[in-house]
Amino acid sequence: MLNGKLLIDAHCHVGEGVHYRLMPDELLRQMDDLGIDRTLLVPADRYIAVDNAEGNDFLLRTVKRWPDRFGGFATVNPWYGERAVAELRRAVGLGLVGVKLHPVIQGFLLCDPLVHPVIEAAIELDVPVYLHTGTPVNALPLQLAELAQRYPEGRFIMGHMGNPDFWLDVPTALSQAPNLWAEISPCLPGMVNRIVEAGFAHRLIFGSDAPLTDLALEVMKVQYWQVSEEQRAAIMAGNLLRILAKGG
Amino acid sequence: MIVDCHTHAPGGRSFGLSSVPVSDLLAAMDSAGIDKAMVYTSDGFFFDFVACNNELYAFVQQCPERLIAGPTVDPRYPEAAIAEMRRCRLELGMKGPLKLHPWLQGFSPIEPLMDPIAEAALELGMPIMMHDGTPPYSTPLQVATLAARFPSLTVILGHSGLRDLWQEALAAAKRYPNIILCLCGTLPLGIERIVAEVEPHRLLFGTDAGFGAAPGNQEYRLGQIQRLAVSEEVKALILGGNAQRIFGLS
Repeated sequence: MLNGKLLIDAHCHVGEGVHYRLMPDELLRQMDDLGIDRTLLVPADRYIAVDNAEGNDFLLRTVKRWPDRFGGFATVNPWYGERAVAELRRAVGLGLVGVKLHPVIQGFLLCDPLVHPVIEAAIELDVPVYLHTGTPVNALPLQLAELAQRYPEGRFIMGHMGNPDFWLDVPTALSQAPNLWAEISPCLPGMVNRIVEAGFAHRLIFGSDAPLTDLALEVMKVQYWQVSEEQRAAIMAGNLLRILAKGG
Repeated sequence: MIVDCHTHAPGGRSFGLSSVPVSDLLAAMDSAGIDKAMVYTSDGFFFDFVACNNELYAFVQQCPERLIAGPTVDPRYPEAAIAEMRRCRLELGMKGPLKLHPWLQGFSPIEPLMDPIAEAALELGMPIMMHDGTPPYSTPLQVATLAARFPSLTVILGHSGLRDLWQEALAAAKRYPNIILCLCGTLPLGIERIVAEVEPHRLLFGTDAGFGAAPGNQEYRLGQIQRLAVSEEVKALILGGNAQRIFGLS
């Protein structure tokens, strides 16, 4: 709990990556220090790119060991086609609660029909889809809004809210697709204020993107958002819990 | 001394921004513990650059002991641009770098139009800071071509690659010794790597305050340097010592 409010980190990478490393026991220590109740884990870089099942298995082991503190989003590379769909079914069947896709690391245009089988499987499994955004040319908020409009029955999360350069697109994307939420790492507090002022406090989700960021500084920003306490609680946890709920 | 080398305060007629009063910027700096700030325009990238530099000058003159101006020009008008660089440096005494924003201003650092601007900057002892980290006209290696063409010119990457291109900024800094990296909006993982691999005297710190002067913005980016696992000496260089040396601040 942070200042009496539930705090859930919607996006944190664990495992031994190529570019970074964060192990669950170390993360738990940091969560305890910082008042983070729960964290949704995603695999580290190379598992997102190629070794999907290996990464998903690491998440599954971690979630099973600390079920009160961790949940996990599986990753599958859409280029694997039917094998990606099968891996997503396996990982969700064993306990992961969403799917994370990264158009840059996995190498596809965010709204390429290549990704449709994975989206359709996520909808069938009733889990949300998190997509990295903000990196031109193939991971942009409006591309995600296009995908989300094509699948109105899906639940989509705009990773990093278009950071750093696509903040102007965010309110438009959120307006186009009511089934789209935005995860705010590593955006400045002023950027969160701006999207709240545009009327989207109920669509924002706290996430850290650690260890690519400093977890303590991501948490520090929570106190600076110029929002009502009700909105703060919603961004810290409430909005995410609604998306994770089956049939949400 | 802590010097924020990247702020945009006056103006704000674009992108739904609004003008930040001097009092607000100073209050934000006080709250974050920042002593001095290099201030740049944002309107000047789109509108009359002479008028915007005048506005910038009037802004910093409200607190000249803490605010240092860095002017802008449109390099597509070389005669007017060079005359304005001379006026800002020699008549108005602006100690900041020439701040250019290739993708907002609509030019590429690779274009020959930058040559007379760079020559004038060299003559005036004026570093050039460019926005970087954003395609198609502001990638670190595009900005680095200017450093390659003018090895005596100090070329500052204003964002050290931003979120996605910090590895490119690191490569540029390693290849061209006249490149300085301003850590401002760089992916925190990238900040760690850059600080580990680039000589400490080539690093600056900035917040981009003004492109959103909300409470917490400067604290967040200042914290990214203060919490690095490096010596206090290195932090002091990044946070202020290098800026004092490069821009001749007292």
